[in-house]
Amino acid sequence: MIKALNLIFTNAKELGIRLSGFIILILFWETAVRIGWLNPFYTSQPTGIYSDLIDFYESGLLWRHTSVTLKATLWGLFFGSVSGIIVAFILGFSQTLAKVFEPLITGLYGIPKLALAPIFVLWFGLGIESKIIMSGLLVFFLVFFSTYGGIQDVDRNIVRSIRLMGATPFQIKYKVYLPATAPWILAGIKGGLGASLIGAIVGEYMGASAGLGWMISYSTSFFQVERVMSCIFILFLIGIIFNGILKIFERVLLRWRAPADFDQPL
Amino acid sequence: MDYPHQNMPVFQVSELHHSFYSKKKEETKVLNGIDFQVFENEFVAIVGPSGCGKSTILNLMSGLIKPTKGSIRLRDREISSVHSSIGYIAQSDTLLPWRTVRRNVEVGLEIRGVEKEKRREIAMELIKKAELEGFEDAYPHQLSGGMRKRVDIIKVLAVEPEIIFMDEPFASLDVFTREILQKYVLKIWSENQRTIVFITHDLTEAITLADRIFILSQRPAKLKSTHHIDLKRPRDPEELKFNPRFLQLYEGIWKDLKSEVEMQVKK
Ligand SMILES: Nc1ncnc2c1ncn2[C@@H]1O[C@H](COP(=O)(O)OP(=O)(O)OP(=O)(O)O)[C@@H](O)[C@H]1O
Ligand SMILES: [Mg+2]
Repeated sequence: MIKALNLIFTNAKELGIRLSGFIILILFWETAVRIGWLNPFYTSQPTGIYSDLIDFYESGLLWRHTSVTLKATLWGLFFGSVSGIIVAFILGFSQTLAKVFEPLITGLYGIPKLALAPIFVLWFGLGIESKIIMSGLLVFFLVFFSTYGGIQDVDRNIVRSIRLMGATPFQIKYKVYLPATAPWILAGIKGGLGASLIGAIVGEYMGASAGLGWMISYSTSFFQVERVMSCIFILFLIGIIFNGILKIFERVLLRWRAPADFDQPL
Repeated sequence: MDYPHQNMPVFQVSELHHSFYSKKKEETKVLNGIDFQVFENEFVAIVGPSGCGKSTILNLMSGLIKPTKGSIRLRDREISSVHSSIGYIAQSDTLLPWRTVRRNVEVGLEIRGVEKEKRREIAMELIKKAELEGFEDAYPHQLSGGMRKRVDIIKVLAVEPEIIFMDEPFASLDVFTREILQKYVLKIWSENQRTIVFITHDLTEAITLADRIFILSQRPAKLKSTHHIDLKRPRDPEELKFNPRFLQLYEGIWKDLKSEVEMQVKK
């Protein structure tokens, strides 16, 4: 009982510490506007953003635009990750293909990909496709490089021992390489979370008829800074939620790893 | 009982040469004409200075690599690829860190397509025999070095290979753990007669376990000599080292080995 209370207390304390920076920022912001240090025309103010969020929500627009952006982001994350993993495995096991394509991919990676957003809109239209492609492309590179590096790092002794047990090439990939690269793949996807959101938003800036990115650029042109801030706040929440979900995945998929601080002896 | 190997050879190694070539085509000659036989149900130990090519011999015999010259026959057939009747316990730790003990023991059965229930049953029995009960759901990082080695061994035993190769399996363990595991290996071997080729640096270990010991020379390695170990079985690793016949054998082989190992004596 005392233990449970203690736990609740520590959790509350933990949460308080995590939130305190955020709360201080908001208080400072509101105060600064009220005493005239900041001009709300440019910065808006927390109370204003709050009432705008309510309007935004009640009009039904919030969910409509958020869902458009989420959809582009998640599909981008999905296609980018899957293609990154597949291409990394193909190049990781074929020296010839690696020789041809690795320099090409590295070269393409050097291009600032966001600069491609307008041309994607031209090629793939104003709809969601151009955003998914933009977002997927950003994710692809991160997941590809991470997975490819992971494949090079797999312990050859383990591979050999499985081969000696008579495993087929496919079994070796499925039973050794895939789980062994899981931490690398997840690290790639973790970086890809932010990238996929950026890809979708920038795609929407360039040309769209819905989505948080479109809403931000539209509201800016009408000087509705509150609405812009509302959208940014939603993006902020999406980022936190994505990270939280990924952390759960990590905990389940990588539970075999020794904890960094070795504080859990059996 | 003392000579369980007066039957047909399992392995017939003849005129075995092997060289490694660097990227610049420089040759490292490792094996320089090796001939020996391993008989059915025999326990053979190979001893030699570090880097002389002991692991290379096992890699050749298991079909992982092809010899530059010479032949290795497994029951009258030339070895051409990895062979399912050979279980290989490598020098390094080869447990899959993302699998629990039980799932590590099951991996060979999984590869062979044994069904789930059966796999679990075989694995649990081996885990019990290896005194690892209660650790079946632990991950390798939660085990001690000696426990990990035991899992490494039963993982190979699970598929019931007729022939077992062990490459310095206990080199990294302390003396006491090593003796316990030596006992364990002897038990496995006597319970279910198999052919074992065991590589070690440690002469005591070789004499304790083997029927015959092959001494290799420095690289490029040749077979320097073969010693028959006529100690009675069953043997107890703890007591054996104080046995007069053991000491006599030890001294003889030691002198033989000394000229080769001058610089790299381990014990
Ligand atoms: N794949 C390889 N490529 C090039 N050289 C190799 C390769 N494998 C082994 N060698 C060389 O061959 C020699 C013998 O190696 P091997 O691993 O067989 O020795 P070992 O007797 O098992 O040594 P240790 O007792 O230290 O394990 C060494 O000099 C090593 O550098
Ligand atoms: Mg070796």
